[in-house]
Formats: sequence, C-alpha cells, structure tokens
Amino acid sequence: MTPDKFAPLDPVIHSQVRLAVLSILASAVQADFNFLKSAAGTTDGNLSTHLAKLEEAGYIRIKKSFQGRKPLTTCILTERGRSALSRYVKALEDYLPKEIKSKAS
Amino acid sequence: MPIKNCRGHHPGRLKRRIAAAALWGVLAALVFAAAGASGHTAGQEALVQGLRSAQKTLQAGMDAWDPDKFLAARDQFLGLLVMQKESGGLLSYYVGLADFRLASYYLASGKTAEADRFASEGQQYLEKATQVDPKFAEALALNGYLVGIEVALHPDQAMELGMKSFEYLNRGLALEPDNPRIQYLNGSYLMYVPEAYGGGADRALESLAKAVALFEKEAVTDPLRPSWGKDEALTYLGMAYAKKNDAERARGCFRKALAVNPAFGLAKSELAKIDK
Repeated sequence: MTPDKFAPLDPVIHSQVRLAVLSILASAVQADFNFLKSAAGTTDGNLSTHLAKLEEAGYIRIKKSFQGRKPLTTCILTERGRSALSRYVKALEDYLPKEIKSKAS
Repeated sequence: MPIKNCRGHHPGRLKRRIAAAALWGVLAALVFAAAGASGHTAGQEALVQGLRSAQKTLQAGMDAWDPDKFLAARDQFLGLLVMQKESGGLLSYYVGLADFRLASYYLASGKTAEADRFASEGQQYLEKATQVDPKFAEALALNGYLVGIEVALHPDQAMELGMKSFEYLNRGLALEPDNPRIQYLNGSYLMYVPEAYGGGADRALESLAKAVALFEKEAVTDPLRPSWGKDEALTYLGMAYAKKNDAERARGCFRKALAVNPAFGLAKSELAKIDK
C-alpha cells in the first residue's frame, strides 16, 4: 500500500488528548473534567482547549452544573462523536501491517 | 477527583498508563474484537488488584458514610472500566454500585440534585451491565433499587417508577432467588415502601431474614464477583426488628453485624440508638 492510498485520519480526533477523551467517553456514560484530566494525564488549560475542539465538532456535549457548591463540568460522547471515533479507528486499521495486527491480537 | 494510586505506582506513571490504556482500549474493542480476541486474560491480575482496591475504598466509604470515599471508589471503578478490562458487564455493575452508594448518601443528606444525578447515571451503567449479560441478576436488582430512589425524588411519577422498580427487583429475584444481595436489596427497599404498595416492616423482615440466612452459606471464591452486604443485611434486619419494637432481636442483629465488620458505622449508630 502506498501512502497516497491511506485513508485520511480525522484531524479533530488525531491528537493524543482528544483521542484519549473520546475513548474514555466511549466506555463511560459520562465523565467529569477532573476524571478526564487525570485519566488523560494532562492539565486544566490543555484539556479545556481540547474539549472545546471536540465540542465544536459536535463530538461531545459539555454540561456545566454544581456538585454541592463546587462547579462540575461533565462531558458526554454524542452519536456523531461515536461514529467519528469508529471511522477513525477503522481508518487507522488500514495503516497497520498484518503482522502487527496479528501480534497484537 | 483524582484516581487513587491503588497499586503503589508513581501517580504520573499511573496517569500515563491509564491514558495509554484508554487509547489501547478503543483499538482493542474495535479492532481486535473483530479478530475474535477477548483481550481480557492478559490484564487479569491487574484487574483483580484494581478491583479489590476499589472495593476496599467503597467499603471504607460505607463504614464511615463518607461521600469522598464513594467518589474515589467510583473513579477507581470507572478507571478500570475505561481501560476496557471488561468482564461480563461486571465493571459497569461496580460503577453502578458506587452510584447507588452516592445516590443513597445524597438522598439521605437532602441533596436531591446530586442524588438524581447518581441515580440516573447508575441506572445507565447497570443497563449497560445487563445489555452485556441479560441474566446479570444483581445488576437488575440494583437497578430496581436505583429506580426506587427516583420515586423519592420524583413523587409525581411514583406510580410509574414504583412499578418499574419492582419489575427490576422481581426479575433479579426470579433469576437468582438464593442470591443474598438480591434478597437484601429487596428487603431494604421494602422497608421504605408503604404497606399499601407492597412494602412494610413485615415483608422487609421476611426478605432480610432470608438474606442473612443465605449470607451464612455464601462462599464467594471468584475475587471479581460481588461479595458485599452481609454486615448491611444484618443491620437492616435489626432495623426491621426495631421497627416492630423487638429491641432484643434488633440488638442481636446489630452485634452480629459488628462481629462481621467492626468498623460498620450504621450498625454502631443503630446499636447506640437502641441502647439509649
């Protein structure tokens, strides 16, 4: 396979933090900001920037509320985000040689 | 809510591991599942350790009735879930169990918005668990209890939600009538349901006594399977006796609960109440 035949990877997802966020939200019903920050191993500011990009693309929904007196930001994967993630992984699969796929499995 | 460093690893390293595992999870689920691989056995030991640690945190929360510990346990379970070490819907069940604790705590504290949030999320995780395994009786029963919490939060929908909660509890009971935790959930739920709607102390007592008898015989050998509830069932049985003004039996139950778990705060406070 030549590089020009590789399927394009969604640039919104193609970032370590954004992919981590989407993959976490694909398993969880929803996740709050602190959990995402901790699980994705990033900082407040960095995560906020990435969440804004994902929200802008319609891949996640961000809810702002309160838990007691503390503000609470929760994120939910949208159907559009779930489909985009599936397409991304499928496209990524095309990049992998058979030997790597079989080793990993 | 940081994920607790449950295995003695450096926190930064743990974060990186979780992030890497989360990425791996998507590929594992979508790519390798297609190749027919389970992806489960390799991380079995880590899963057992992580699960034990989270269960311990949750129990510590129950002992001290501490929402921060419930939240920490929930994050641990959720961390395991997003790492895709799924085991027949079990990890979704455990997140639902932590949500059940949090919803109960916030309901008892009068914080209804928080109670609603965790009751609703817990139901979604338990639905996920029963989607993976439709015969997961404990998940069904727990879901029934969470719907029951919604009854208290939305009295305008009491009829509809009440029927739904009994439907879930009864499905759990029908699948595993000899499961002590299901009998316990049923009994403790009936304590709060008025007699006219099928609850009351007598019905609760019957189910709780059965739960206690079943706990005596229970031997959970699989570390992944739920094994909680014996101390709670004994305490609730004591509370049911206390409701029927049988102080002697109530006292006996609270003492037995404390023999099972000396740190159990609810049994301590109920015993103190009756000894006043």
